[in-house]
Amino acid sequence: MAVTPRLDDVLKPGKPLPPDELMIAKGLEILNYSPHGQQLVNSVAAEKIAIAIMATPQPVTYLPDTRKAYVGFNRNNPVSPSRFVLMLAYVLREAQQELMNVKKPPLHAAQEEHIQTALRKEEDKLWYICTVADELNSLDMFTEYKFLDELRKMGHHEAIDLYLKQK
Amino acid sequence: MQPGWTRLKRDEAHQVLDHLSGHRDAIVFSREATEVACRDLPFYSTYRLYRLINYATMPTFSMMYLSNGQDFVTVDGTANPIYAINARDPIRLTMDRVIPYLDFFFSNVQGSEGDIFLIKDPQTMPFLASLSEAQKQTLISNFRPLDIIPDIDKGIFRVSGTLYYGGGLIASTIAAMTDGRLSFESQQLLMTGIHFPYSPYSQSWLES
Repeated sequence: MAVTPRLDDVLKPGKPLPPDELMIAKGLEILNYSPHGQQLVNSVAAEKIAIAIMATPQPVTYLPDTRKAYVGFNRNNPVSPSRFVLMLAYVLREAQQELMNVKKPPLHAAQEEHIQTALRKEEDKLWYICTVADELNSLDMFTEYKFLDELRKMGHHEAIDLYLKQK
Repeated sequence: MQPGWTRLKRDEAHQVLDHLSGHRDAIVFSREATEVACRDLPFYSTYRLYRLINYATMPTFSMMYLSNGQDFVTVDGTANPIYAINARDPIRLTMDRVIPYLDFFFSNVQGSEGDIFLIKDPQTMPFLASLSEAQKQTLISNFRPLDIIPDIDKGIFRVSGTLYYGGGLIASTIAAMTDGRLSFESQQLLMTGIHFPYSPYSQSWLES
């Protein structure tokens, strides 16, 4: 028997969540268990990257400048802890790209340059979060987090399949 | 520029960004690369919807705010900001405005199951092509068209229709109160197993 989704959920004022600082600290702590995640955590400390959580209608990451990273999600429909960790890894990898001089082209650059750079940066970020997810997934303590399944739920089927094939 | 949105001039856009940057916990927007646009909402007198897009990020990043030009409230995906503005700029619901209000509300508020979408015409429902032929037939035969019943004495508009939510189609009666608060007075599951591959609002509402 199918369960009818409760429409009243839409009208709730948001779910109780841990403080933002705690979610960020926990996310970084989990990333630290993965060698690639650890590199990101190290750059947060070394480069003084500020991380903040914002309330947004849809899950999103945002890097307005190299040392300011945001993770956004809906307070009525918060992302799972594993997705939060992967989103954190994604935006921190983007910060790392900028620090390594893999920068976005200036606004007036040709469209083709924007497209090529965007594709190259996206490919790198996806490869990176696949690696982090795979490394965390291999640890018994994170079995319940199902990091690889979460990547698929985020729509990255092809990326994770390709990553696992090429590993 | 998409229809409905008016792009602000550079100095006006900077005024908006200055207002926003004065807030504690303000989200950072580049002054050089952010487009600020606004659009009227027929159910408010003084508040408008502002859209900020930072074109310097990949992909572009956008946020919406409800504002009267001085007071900026982030549209954060819950009902709270909309209800707060309904109180500050008393909402004016009429037969003509109640559906635009529901569209606006649902496009900016999510539940624990994700997006909620008011279906006006099953033939133009988002992602219709992703359904099987059997699902399409079930959708068309079960679809309940929109019906608005005003309760003049109480100032309530009851809207009956078909909603997509949580992977299902639900027939529901939504009561829109005079203060803009909504309640779902009935709901009946018509069909399950429908999954939109991404948010139906990721393009449509922004661009309409």
